[in-house]
Amino acid sequence: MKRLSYKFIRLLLAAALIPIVIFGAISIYSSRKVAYETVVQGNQNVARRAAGEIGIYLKNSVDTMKTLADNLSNVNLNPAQKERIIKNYVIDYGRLEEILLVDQSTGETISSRPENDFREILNSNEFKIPMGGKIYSSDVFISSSLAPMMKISVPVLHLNKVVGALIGNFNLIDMWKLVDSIRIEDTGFAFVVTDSGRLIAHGNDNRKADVIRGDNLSGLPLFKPVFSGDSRPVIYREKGRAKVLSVASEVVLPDGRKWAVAIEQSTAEAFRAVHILTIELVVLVLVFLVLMSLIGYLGGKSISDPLKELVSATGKVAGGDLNTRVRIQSRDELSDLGDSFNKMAGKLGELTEEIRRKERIATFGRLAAGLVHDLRHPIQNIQNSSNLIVQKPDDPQIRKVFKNTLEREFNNINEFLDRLRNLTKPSPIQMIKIEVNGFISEILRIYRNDSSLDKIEWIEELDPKIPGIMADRFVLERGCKNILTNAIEAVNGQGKIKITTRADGHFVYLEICDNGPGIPPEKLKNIFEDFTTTKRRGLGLGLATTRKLVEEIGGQIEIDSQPGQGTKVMFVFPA
Amino acid sequence: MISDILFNGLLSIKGNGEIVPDLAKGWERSKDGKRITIHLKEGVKFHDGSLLDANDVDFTLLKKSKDLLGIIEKMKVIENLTISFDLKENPNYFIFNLGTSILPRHVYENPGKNREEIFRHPVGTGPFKVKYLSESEAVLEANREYFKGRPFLDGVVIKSYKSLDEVWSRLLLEEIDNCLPLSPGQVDFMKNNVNFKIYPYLSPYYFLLVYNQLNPLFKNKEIRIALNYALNRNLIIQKVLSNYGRLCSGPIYPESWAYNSEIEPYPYDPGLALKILGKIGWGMENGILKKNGQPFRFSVLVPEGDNLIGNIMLMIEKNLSEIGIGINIYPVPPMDLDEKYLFPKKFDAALLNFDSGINPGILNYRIWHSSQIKTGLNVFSYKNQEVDKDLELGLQALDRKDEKKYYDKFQREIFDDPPGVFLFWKEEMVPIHKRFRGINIGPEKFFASIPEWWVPKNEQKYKNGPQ
Repeated sequence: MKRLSYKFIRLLLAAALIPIVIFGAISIYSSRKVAYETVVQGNQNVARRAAGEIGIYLKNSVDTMKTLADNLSNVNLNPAQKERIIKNYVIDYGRLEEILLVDQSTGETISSRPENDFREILNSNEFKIPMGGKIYSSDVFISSSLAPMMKISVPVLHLNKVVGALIGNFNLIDMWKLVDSIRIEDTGFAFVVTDSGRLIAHGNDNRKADVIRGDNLSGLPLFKPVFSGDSRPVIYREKGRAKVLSVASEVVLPDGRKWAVAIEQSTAEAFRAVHILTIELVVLVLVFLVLMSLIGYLGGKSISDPLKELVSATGKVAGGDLNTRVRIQSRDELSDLGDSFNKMAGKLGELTEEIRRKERIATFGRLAAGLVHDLRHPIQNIQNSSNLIVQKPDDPQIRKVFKNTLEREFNNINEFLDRLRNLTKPSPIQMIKIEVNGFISEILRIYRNDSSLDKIEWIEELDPKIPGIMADRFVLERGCKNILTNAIEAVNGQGKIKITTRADGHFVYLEICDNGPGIPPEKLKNIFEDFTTTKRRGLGLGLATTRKLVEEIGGQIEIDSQPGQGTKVMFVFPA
Repeated sequence: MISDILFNGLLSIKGNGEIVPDLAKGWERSKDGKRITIHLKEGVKFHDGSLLDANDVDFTLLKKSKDLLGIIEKMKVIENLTISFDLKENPNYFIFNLGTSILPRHVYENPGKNREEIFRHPVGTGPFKVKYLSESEAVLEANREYFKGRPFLDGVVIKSYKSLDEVWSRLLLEEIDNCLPLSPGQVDFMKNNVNFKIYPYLSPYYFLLVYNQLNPLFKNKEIRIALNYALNRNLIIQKVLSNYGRLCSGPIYPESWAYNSEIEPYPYDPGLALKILGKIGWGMENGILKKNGQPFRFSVLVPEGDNLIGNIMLMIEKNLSEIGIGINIYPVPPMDLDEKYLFPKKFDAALLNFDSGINPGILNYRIWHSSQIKTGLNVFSYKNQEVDKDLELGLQALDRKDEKKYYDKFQREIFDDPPGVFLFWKEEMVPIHKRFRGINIGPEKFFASIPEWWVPKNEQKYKNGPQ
């Protein structure tokens, strides 16, 4: 019955599985994609904004320098005044720490610092490039007060010609503050690298030392793409660190060089929502599948249980219990089947009862007929003998015949009654050890002495070495007498009846053979059945009874017979 | 520096100027103050296990301290643990010198062949002893027999690096637990670092713009007073020190017992400055202050390469230019500053950084007393009779109340006749790794507080010796 449930389960699973799996896969895929893109875009926006702000910040610094350069190119100012202006700028504009003006048209070198030796500067890019009319910005360097510094120099113009350079030292600490202020959840930080790979700012406290050391990050996977204009996110893992999602945005410096502002967040955190979603969907799909299986199992059971009941009931009926009924209340075809079954079982019961009744009547009828038939003979014989004795009461021969006849016929009647009684109520068996040879000889003696059986040749071949058997005396006696009676009938009062006993170690055999006409094969088949007889008289209960009796005391009967060749009846008893 | 935790003196000086006995158990002074008897503590051991006794004191003070020779008339070892000094004069000043590190005589008297060894392994009584010393590193371990009880920490390693950048990197990487005090910009940076705590204390060093009193420009007290009104010192503290500093009105440390808190500092009032100058003949012409056609101009010496001083000067220069005074700023190498300019008195003015000495006594005497002009530290040729008297009496005062009286007066006098402009006291910010507790840093030497530091067991880092 389980098989049905399993079939259902399989059916449902097959039907539901594919759509669920497809649904699940599509959901997972598309939600992951969306979540991923959202996170990436969010981080990219932050990077872009930060880059924008830094760009503005740098531009403002350059503009400050340009304005100052413009102010200083006023011809009406003398060096002392220019110095005053420069120094005031440094005092007032906190992020501008030093200013140097080199004006070749007037030969002035004016600085906010008291030091006087600027010869080195004249050979450096910070002077030469603005002299070429371009804006210069230096690499970021860390000052001794732990601040990021950058030199910016702009050309100083007079009458639209470049006459000098204005060089300023800017403290970019505000850039650091901006980078520090960027925090995405717990692991998202910003950092800034130059296009030569130098790390110049980092929002993660633990990495600030790297900035001071001036680590070069050009080896990182995010580096090349960002400076070649590829704004796609990069996911990578640095040795000893977690996997990160990295997005970056470019900052273009006033002199055309570039920085990149990168935002990095650990992928575990960035995609946590995606992971959770994935897990939820997978769990959902699994729950579905389990549910399906459960439903399938239960559905199958609701069909297989009633069927089981029917099968079991059918078996019981076949085994003879006609009172079996089933209770199926499913209000469907199965309950109809159940009702039909019950009806059928009921009818079967009735029919069987009918048959039994008829059989009983038939049996009874035959029984009665047999009774009458069989009793009539002995009674008739006794009647005849009685008539005779009345006629010649003094004839001793007739008296002897009369006595014998009476004995014999009363014996027959008794035996017959015994047989009848045993048919209906068998007497208890008493198993004792019996010596077969002596036993059968004793029985044969009576037959031998019976003058009416004078014409029969009694042959005894009794093996003296046979062991005793366990049996009931009376049952054995009846059985032997039944068979002997049949044999006598078969030879019709004259012929040979041979009695043999032998043993083969396991069994003891008692054979009674006659040379009568034999039994035709078709009758031999049913010889042990009730109501079968070849005799002209008798109920035909003899052999059936005999067999039952013999079997009851642990023995067996076998009959061997061929028409024209006599009959052999063999009793087999365990030794 | 390191000697502060390797050695002890007879006494030590706390941050507010109070004297506490260190190796000495106590001392007595005779009525006239000229005899001082010192009793040593019992059972104090040197790092090599030998016991401290009066002979070591005798040896150290007599042989090793040139300064004291002038004052000590006679030194006598009375008993194993008692020594007496007969002084010529100035008992106050003498007491303060008893903070000198006491050396064991048997090690340092005749170094002989072991000189190198002794140099590498100084022997003292201090809370830490030397495991080994090299050019770049000093490894110290706790002295478990320290007479005040062993320090909590097991060891200290002091490293020297070639550049400040390296120091910073190592600090940020937590390879070192502490470094020199931070500049204001650095403070901002480190404030947000969760691994370090910043401990502030007011440095006992003050910044002073001081004039050569021999220069005719500065002869008149009124000019020097006017210049005090001309400078916006609060703005300097705000902009240059990012507010990590305190206004200074005199040479005595504000946390000292001797500080005169009743003196009101000069306010920033350039108008008043001009008025005072005007009264003595200085007038503005085209933005330049002139008298008899001569512009008010002078040069200021500054130590080269000091960013802080450079920025201070910028602001001073601006303030002065607003009242028409021009200055030339001359940065000179620090080594030359003393030898080539100050001592030979070849300067107009200088921006300097002075140790207030916590205790008011001897340093102020040496700097401001007129007797110190020729050979002492009074390179400014500052002369004020009242100041002289106050300093003398203060040094000789026998009880604290008297001392305070004189030093209060000293501060008032020097305020009214300023040698220059007392600018400010700087607040030092010391970064120390957050795992250390019990930190009490003050203006007394940094290392002296180390014996009190401890680290909770679960935060201890170097458990198996210094690395």
